[in-house]
Amino acid sequence: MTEKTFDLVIIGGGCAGMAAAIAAYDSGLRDIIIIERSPLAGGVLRQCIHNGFGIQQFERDLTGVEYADAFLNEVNKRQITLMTETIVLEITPDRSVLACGSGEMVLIRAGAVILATGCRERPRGALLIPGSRPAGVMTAGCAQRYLNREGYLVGKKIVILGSGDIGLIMARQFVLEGAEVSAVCEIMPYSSGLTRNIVQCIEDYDIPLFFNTTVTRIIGDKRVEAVTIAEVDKDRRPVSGTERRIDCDALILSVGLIPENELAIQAGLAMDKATGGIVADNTLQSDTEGIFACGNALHVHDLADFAAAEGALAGRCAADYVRNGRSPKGQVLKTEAGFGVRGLVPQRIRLPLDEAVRIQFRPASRYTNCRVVIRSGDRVIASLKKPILTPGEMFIREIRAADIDGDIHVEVVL
Amino acid sequence: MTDFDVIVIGTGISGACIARELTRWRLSVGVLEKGYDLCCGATKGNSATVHSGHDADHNTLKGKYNVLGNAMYDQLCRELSVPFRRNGTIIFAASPAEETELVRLKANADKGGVPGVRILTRAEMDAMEGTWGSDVRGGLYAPTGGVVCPYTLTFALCENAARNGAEFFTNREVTDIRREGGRFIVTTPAETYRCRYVFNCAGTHADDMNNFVSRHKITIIPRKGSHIILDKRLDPYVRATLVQTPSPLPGGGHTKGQGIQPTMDRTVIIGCEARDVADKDDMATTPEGLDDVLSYFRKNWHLFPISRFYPSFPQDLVIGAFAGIRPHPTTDDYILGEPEDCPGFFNMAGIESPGITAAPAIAADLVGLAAARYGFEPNEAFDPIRRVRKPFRDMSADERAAAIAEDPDYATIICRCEQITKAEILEAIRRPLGARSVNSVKMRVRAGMGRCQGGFCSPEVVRILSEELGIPMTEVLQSGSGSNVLPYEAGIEEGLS
Amino acid sequence: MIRELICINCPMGCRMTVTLENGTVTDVTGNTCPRGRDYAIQEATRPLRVLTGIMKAEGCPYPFSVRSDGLIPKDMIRDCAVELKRHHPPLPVAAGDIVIADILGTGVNIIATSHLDASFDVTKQK
Repeated sequence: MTEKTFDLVIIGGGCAGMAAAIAAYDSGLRDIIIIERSPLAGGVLRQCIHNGFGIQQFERDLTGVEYADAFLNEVNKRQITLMTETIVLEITPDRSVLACGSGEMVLIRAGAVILATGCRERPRGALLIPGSRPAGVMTAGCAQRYLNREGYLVGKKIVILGSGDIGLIMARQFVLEGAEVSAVCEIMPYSSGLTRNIVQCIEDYDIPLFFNTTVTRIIGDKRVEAVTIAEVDKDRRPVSGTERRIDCDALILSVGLIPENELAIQAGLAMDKATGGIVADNTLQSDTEGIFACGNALHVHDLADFAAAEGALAGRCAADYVRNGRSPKGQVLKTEAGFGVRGLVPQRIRLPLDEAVRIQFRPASRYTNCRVVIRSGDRVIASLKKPILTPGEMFIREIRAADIDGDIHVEVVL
Repeated sequence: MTDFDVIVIGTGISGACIARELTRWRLSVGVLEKGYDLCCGATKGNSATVHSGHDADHNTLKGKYNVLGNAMYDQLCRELSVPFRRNGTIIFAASPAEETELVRLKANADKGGVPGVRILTRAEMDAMEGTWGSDVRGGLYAPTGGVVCPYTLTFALCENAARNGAEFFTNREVTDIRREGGRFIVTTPAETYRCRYVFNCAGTHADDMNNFVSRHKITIIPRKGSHIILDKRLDPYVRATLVQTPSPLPGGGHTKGQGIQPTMDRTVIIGCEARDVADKDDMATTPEGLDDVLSYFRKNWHLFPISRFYPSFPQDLVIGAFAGIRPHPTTDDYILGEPEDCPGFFNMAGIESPGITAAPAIAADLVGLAAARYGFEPNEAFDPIRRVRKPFRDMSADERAAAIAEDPDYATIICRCEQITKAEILEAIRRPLGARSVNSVKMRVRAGMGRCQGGFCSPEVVRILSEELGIPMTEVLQSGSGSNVLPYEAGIEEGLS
Repeated sequence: MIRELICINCPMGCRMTVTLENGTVTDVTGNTCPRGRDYAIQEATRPLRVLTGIMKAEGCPYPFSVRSDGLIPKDMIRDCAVELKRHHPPLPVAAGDIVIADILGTGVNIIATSHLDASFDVTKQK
């Protein structure tokens, strides 16, 4: 087993991980390694051939592939070690990173660790859709990989369950590749995807989109032959009598993303049930010194740009930690999610602050003409009028350091 | 026409045990499976329990072979390198009526000679498993209860039988059996076989096999049960198999107890319910079946010690569900041996729960009986040992480094949820009775069985199968013929309009 | 002529009504901001889209990804998508290469967004 040491080990070479490495380097740190599972950094962006990336970050409309290359070019301009085809098996609270790849086992002792491991898609099993288990049932990301990386279509008459962005994007691409998308079924009364995608991927192609509707049975022995769909009541349970059969040869699932955090859980880091990520402070550090997280591993983002921006913050903060050899030992405040707020990040704020704190959350439901009220202690520090909030789009607000002197409370007021 | 001394029909736990027992004798053995792979039926969708026998009726064959079979598991699993653990079973009572039932179960267990069964006080239960729900009054402990992965065991039995000379044929559905000149003619659409002896281990179809050749008709009813699988994260909190005392039914017999149990793969299984169905091959999960299990656990989660750590049923840790189809004999007991009008034809039929437990003992007895009756010669070359490498995920860091040094494919992890390496997937394809489809890889080495359910690794597994089998990507199957994972190449012009 | 549109500028998804006379927008209602109005006018008179997709190079089993280097009239997107399948440029392909010039006379080029060389190894495109 090979042993190495690095000041900063970044686990995951997607846009968050690469942005973290770039920011850490630019803030003066030199001894940086990115460990990437695939042969080419970029993560899931490598299969995102569609455009819509980089508008915030680069002020250009890039495809996911181009967006990944833009980061990779920046990484390559710097003296950052990129170790590909390597998978991390284990991290310890004292920042030993055990990895496997390129024909050997490697143990790296790290000054700081950033977890940028991304997320995975919620699979069929987690939904407990009854029925048989034929070929042709898979997640949208899996179908995307088969199409864009391998060059194969998983069906010619397709039903999509869930209106997450990957599902919407794939609906359009299936049609452009010559398949028929018979229906997109969304169990909620609204889409979890971006409006742009509803219009340009679904309406442009006259694809039927059914709200308050779910798939209640999968039919087929060898391959999918049909699914049954049904309307749901307000508790999201199928309404009997509304079932109808749709013949199809594939069922594609776009029903949510789950942060990948097995390494953090194994290492015993405190986790947040609401986000599925670690409990992070405003420097994106976990409850364990020197271990940070960012991007979709911390919480699922709506735009890659925001995941990358968060990566950059984690990179700067981890570099500070390495330089100082410890994190500040000031008072720790909590952030608290009130009505309408799900998955509030960060969960802790460590004083003293030298820069603004970026508060992010997902609205718990769709709200119109509401306010987002942020308090520090008993004092209202922001009350923001919002014509609309939806779970599909992250709420982000920077709060000035000077405004924070007590626990932060965030709520939606209707 | 292909000749064998013996034809075994079916490769579930019964057929696998019979096949291996037969290779202890100097016989040519052919094993026919109607599915695309071994172990496609009742054994595949099972709770993975090695039952102690505390609740079996000890006047029946079920009771007898449950206890005998249970006792064989340590040696059997050691010989075959199959993980097995006696985690113990606790049947808990949450009402006075259930407590009374525990006393009856204890007496029943003693009558059947089930080792070590004792009544537990609430304090003893808390000491063993952690604090139970306040309604829980006491329990019955059966230390010989265990867990095994039924299909891992079945693959291992088949593989060992194959190493000892048995020949296996998949996609061979037996459509007729008849006697002709002292031989049996066994017909499948692909091939016809001639043999002296038949072992009927056809699961839910065992009645059809018997009824081809015997006037003593039997009936097997397919009975479906649903199970739900929970994430490995719960494994530290589930040790023994925990089952609520089944309520006696007014007309006699029992409902199936709902329970929670660890598995050898560290996931946790909950279930199950049972209901009779019409189709003998229907393993689809149903809304009713899943609802039964879910509503029981949502309602009664607080009874189980795990609720101290996860206060309500952790729906977000559900990773999957499956339904199993059990062969329920209308006689309510196992149907074993030769029908009187059909010597040489051995039934091992109606092997419902505790079939996984009982099968090794039944197979040893049946084959022993056949050997004595028909004068089989011992096979001196029989080797009971199956040698396998330790799975990568169970290796120490040093063992991993050594494995990688020997075979660099160990450094390529294909299934990240279960940490399955490329080397192990290739091994699953290359071993005797190797995998030929995505599901076959999954059943042998667990690639795709973890929490992402193959979302990340199935494209890689498809590619490996394509390369290893020398077939185009479009011909890689998920299960049997017609289950192509990737039916179309993108961008074929006639597909576009 | 009256057209109904959903604005894509923000999650509000305003439902807008556009009145057209002889192909000219005379009225937009339902928008809550000026960006909505601009979008409505563009979308009602000359809707444009970026095309992205995959193509296959000559003799190569793996696809490479492409995009249009400009906006294509919406009603030509499907035809252009089909056109992608009729071209099989020779290897190697590098990001930025024009693989179809002036696709279907739109004045827009199709450019590669990923790299592919004769090793066929999609995973090591750089």
